[in-house]
Amino acid sequence: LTVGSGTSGSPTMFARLTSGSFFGVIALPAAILSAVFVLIPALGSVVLSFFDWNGVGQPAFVGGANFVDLANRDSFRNALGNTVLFAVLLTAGTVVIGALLAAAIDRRVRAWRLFKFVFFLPVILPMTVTGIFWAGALDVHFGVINEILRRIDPSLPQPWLAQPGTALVACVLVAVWQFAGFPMIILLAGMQSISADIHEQATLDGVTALQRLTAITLPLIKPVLATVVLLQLIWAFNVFDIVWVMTRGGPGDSTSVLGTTIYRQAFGLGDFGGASAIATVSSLMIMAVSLAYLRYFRPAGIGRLP
Amino acid sequence: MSRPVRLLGALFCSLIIAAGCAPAAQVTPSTGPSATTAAPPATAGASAAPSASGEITVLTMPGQLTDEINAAIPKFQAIHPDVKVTLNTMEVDAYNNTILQVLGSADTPDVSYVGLNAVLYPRMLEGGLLLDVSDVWDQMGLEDVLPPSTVDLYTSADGKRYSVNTGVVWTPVVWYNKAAFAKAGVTAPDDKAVASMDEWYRMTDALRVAGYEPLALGGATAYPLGHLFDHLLPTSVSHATFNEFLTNWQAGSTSTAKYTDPEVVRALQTIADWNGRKVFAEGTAGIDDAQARALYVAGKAAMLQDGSWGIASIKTDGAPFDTGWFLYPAVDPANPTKLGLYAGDGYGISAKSDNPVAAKAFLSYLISAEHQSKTTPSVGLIPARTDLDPSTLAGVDPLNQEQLGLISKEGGVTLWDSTVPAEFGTPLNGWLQSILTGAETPESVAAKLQEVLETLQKG
Repeated sequence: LTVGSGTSGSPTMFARLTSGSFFGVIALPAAILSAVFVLIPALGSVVLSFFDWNGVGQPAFVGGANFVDLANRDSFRNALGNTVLFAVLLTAGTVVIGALLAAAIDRRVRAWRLFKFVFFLPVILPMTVTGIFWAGALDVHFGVINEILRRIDPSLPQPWLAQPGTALVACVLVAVWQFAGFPMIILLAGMQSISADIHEQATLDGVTALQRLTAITLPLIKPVLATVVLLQLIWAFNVFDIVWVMTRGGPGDSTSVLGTTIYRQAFGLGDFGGASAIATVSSLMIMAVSLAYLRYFRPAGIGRLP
Repeated sequence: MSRPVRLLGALFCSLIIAAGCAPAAQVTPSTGPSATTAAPPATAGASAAPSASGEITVLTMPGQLTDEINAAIPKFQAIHPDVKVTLNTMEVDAYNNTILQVLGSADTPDVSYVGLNAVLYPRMLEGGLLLDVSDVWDQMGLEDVLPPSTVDLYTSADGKRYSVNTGVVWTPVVWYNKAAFAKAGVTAPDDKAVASMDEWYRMTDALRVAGYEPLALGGATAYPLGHLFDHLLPTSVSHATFNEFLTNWQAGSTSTAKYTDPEVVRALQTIADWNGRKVFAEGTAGIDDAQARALYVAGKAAMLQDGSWGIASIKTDGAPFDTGWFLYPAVDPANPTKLGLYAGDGYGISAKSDNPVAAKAFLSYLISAEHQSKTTPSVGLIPARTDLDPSTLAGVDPLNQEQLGLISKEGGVTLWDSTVPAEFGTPLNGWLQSILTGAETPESVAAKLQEVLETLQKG
C-alpha cells in the first residue's frame, strides 16, 4: 500500500512490477529448472512405467503389465500400508509436538530461545546422520537407549529395530524427533502474528493455557497449520532415507515403505519399469491427497495469495 | 574388502585345484599335483603387455581391493612409465546402484571392478558395456593358469571373455574367540566342520551359559543370512538336486527339483531351529554386518559368521583375543559341509575407454604371475592363478592358508545365491529375516522360492 500510493509516479511502476509479464520473466529460470530436473524426469518415469527395462539396452513396451503386477504383489500392498501409517503418525506427531513447542515458546517460557534453537537443530541434520545415530542408540547390544533401560531393569532392553512390532514405530519416533522443529518454527511465526491485544484480553478473561491454545491460537493460525500438515504429509509419504539407513525396510518387510520398495525394485532386481510403476502410483496418490486437502482447506486461506 | 559384491566363493588352488565354480557342478577335490606345477615366467604379465602410454582410470571398491590396486600402480608404472594411473573407489551400494550408468557414460573408468554375480554382470554384457578382452586371456595364457571352472565362468555365451578373475574368496566361515571357548569349556572342531547339529547345539548352549552371545551374524545386511542358506541348502539336499537348483530357473527347464521339497524346507527350518535355540545373537534380524563384527571383536559374541575376508577385518579392528575357525555342521551328514567358493572378483575394461591399450596392459599386469604372487597375497587376498609357487602364499593369513588346505583336500561348493538370478537372492534376505521374527515359516519361504522358480521357468 505504501509503495503503491507513493507520490512520484510509483503507481505506474507498481502496476508494471506486478504485471503478469514481469512475474513471468522472473519465474522463467525457476520454471526451466523445474521442467528440466523435475517435470521431464517425472514424465520420463511415467512413460518408463509402461516398459520392461533392466537399466541397459532397449526398453520393451509392456502396456499396463507393470501396474497389474503391482496390484497382485503383497510387497507393494504392505509397503503402501506402511507408508500411509508412517505418514499419518509422522504428520500427527510432528504437528502436535511442533504446535505445543511453538505455543510454549510464543508464551516466552523460561529459556525459550534455547528451546527454539535446540528443537530446531535436528531439522538441519542430514537424515542419514540422524538415521545412523539413532540406529546406534537403539542397538540392543551397544545402544545408549538400551543401556539406560538395562540400568532401570535388566529385562527392559529390546532389539527395537529387529522386531516387526517396534521397528516401524522406532523409525517414526526418530523422524518425529528430527522434524518436529519444522512445524514448530512455521507455527511459531503464525502465532507471533496474532495481536498481543487478543492474548491480553484472554488473560483478563482468565482463560487457561489449554483454552488459549485450542480456542484462540490454533483457530487463528488455521491456514498456516493446514499448510504445515500438507507439507509434512507430502514429505512423509515420500520417506526413504531414514528408513533405509535404520532398517533397510526390515526385518522382513515390516518397515518397507514405497521409497524402499522402489529402490529394491530398481537396483536390487533391475526392474526399472516396475519401480517406475510404483513411483507413478505413489505420485498419483499423494497428488490426489494433496488436491483433496487443498480443496477442503481452501476456504481457510491455503492455496491463495494473501 | 567389498564383501557383498565380491561375495564369495571360487577356486583358488595355488598348488591346488580345480573344478567347479561353474554353475552346473560342485567343486571337487584336486586330482593331483600335476595340474598345479606349470610355472610360466614370473613376469609373464608384464612382458606380455602391449606397449602403452597415456592416462587410465581404475575403479574399484574400498578395503583390500583398493589396497591391491594401490600397491599395483607403482609397480605397473615402473614397467610402463608412460602410463599414468588414477585410482577411484566406490562404496558397494554406490557401485551396485550406478555402475551400469557409470560404464555407459562418457566419463567412464577405463578399468573397472566387475563382480560376476547374477545381478549386474549379465546386464553389463547385454548393454555392451565391457570390452572384449579375449586377447588378454590369449596373451597371458590364462586358460592354462586359472581353474577350468573359472575359465568356464568367465567365458560368455558368445565365446568371448569380457573380464579377468583376479582373486578368490569363500564363505561361510565361522570365526571363533578361542578365549571364550576356553572359558565356556567348549572344544572347537579346529579347521573343519562341526560333527553334528547336536554337537553344534551343545556348543552354543555352553557359550550362552558362559555369558556369550553364541553367534554374531549381520542379518540386516543383504548377504550374511543368504550365505547361511548357501551352506544349509547343499548340505540338506543331494548333490544332484543342488546342481539342479543352480540351473533349473532357466526358461523351459524340465527339472523336477522344487524348493518346496522337504529337504529344502529342512534347510530353512534349520534357521528357525537355530533361532529358537538362541544360537544367534539377540536382535540378529536388525543388526548389520559391522555391528555383528563389533559384537565379536568386543568379546560379546563368541563366534562370527563371515567369509575368508573376515580375519583381516577382525585383526584390523583389534580383537584382543586369538581367533580360530571352523565350519557349520551339515544339515544331513550324508552331504558334508564344504566351503562355498566364489571366483567372481574380476576386472574388465569399459567399452567406452579412451585408452584400451593401456587399460589392457594394466589388466594384464593384474593377472600376471608377478602381481598375483607378490602383491595380491601381500594385501591378504587369495590369487586367482593356480600356477604360483606355494611360497607365494606366505603373505596370506595363516588361517586362510588352512582353509585353502581344506579346499584342496575336500573341494568346495558353488554359492547358490551368487549363481541364481536376482529374483531369488534380492528378496531372500528379507524372507530369512522374517523366519527369525516369526513373520514367515520355513514352508512359506519355500513356497515363495518355488513361486519365483516357476515364474522364471515360464520365461
